[in-house]
Amino acid sequence: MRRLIAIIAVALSTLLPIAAKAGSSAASNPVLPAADVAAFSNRVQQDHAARGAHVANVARVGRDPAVLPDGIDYTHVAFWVYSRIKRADGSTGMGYRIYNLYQRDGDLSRSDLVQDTPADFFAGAHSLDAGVIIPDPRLQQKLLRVIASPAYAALHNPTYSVLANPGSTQFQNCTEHTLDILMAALYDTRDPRQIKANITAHFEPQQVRLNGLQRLLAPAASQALTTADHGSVVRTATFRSIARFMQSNDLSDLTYRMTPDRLVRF
Amino acid sequence: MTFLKITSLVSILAITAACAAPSAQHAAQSADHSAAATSHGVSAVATSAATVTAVPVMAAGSVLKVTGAALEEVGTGSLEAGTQVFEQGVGVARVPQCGVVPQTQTCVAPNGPPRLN
Repeated sequence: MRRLIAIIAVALSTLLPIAAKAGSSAASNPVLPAADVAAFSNRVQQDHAARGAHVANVARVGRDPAVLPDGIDYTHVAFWVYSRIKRADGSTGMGYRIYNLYQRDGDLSRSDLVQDTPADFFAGAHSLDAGVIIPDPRLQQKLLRVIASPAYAALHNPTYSVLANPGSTQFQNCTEHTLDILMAALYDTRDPRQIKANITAHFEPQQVRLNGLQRLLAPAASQALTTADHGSVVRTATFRSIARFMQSNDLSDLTYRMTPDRLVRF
Repeated sequence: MTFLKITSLVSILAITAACAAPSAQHAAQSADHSAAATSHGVSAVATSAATVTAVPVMAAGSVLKVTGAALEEVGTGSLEAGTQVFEQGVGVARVPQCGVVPQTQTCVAPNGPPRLN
């Protein structure tokens, strides 16, 4: 019993700072040079443009991969949408806007839909490493119709969980919202129940191995770590699982990893 | 054993950074970093303070251009756009365990597999 109490106490004391800092601390993360971030951001969007991508799914590495669970290498996914952009100073241009679901600063159990720039997207990265899915051009058109419609916001559930079950509407994270929008586009539906039914039938989430003690302790560290929407096994949507789903159903043109010096197909 | 459990827990909780806004990590380095810090949490769909409008376009043609205000203000990439992608093989799909996803939407029958044609 004393040993169990010791495990719990040490685990909580180790985890609480992590959970607390994950959404708000600048000091706990390495800072990539601004020039490198900007250069890489330009390179990614120019690469998308050269491939004629109007809509792409892009993922970033938000944490040292060495500390991430098996099967999870990217921690944030968003849509990059080719857009006509006008800035406050009147300057205009053509490039990509990023459609994100972000955890809310100050309340990590909630999220908001936020548009930002390629450099904003990679500013939160641990390393300059992008996972990219270029959807089939027909799917890009379908995605664009959903993203530009009220359905994009209507399919957002602000109740956030890091390990949200994609087959449930109880919680949502950035990857699940991406998957919901993808399903809405594929099946031309805005009905969340139909979307979840199709996800459950056709999408294979990534299993995250957690034992009972871990599942018990995690919400104590942060409500965003709840697994209340799962059964005995925790499975969540990830960039890789979405990539596999799209590849296996011939929905993507190209899936690759981009770093500052090379591109490698997944 | 204790150490392994703790390490494993830490690794799981480390992904609390998932979906974190740049402002929640280190956006100050960004060349155009005004968006998330000021806008998220204010409304359901926010836009960058530095951007007045951003309208999605479905332009004709297979090669698009990134120009003007859309470009970040520092540097260019070290590789040319559209560089050949090296082959590494597809990722290995993990075998799912049967019946582990709760059927939370039991009253709606799924459609068939997704098809674009």
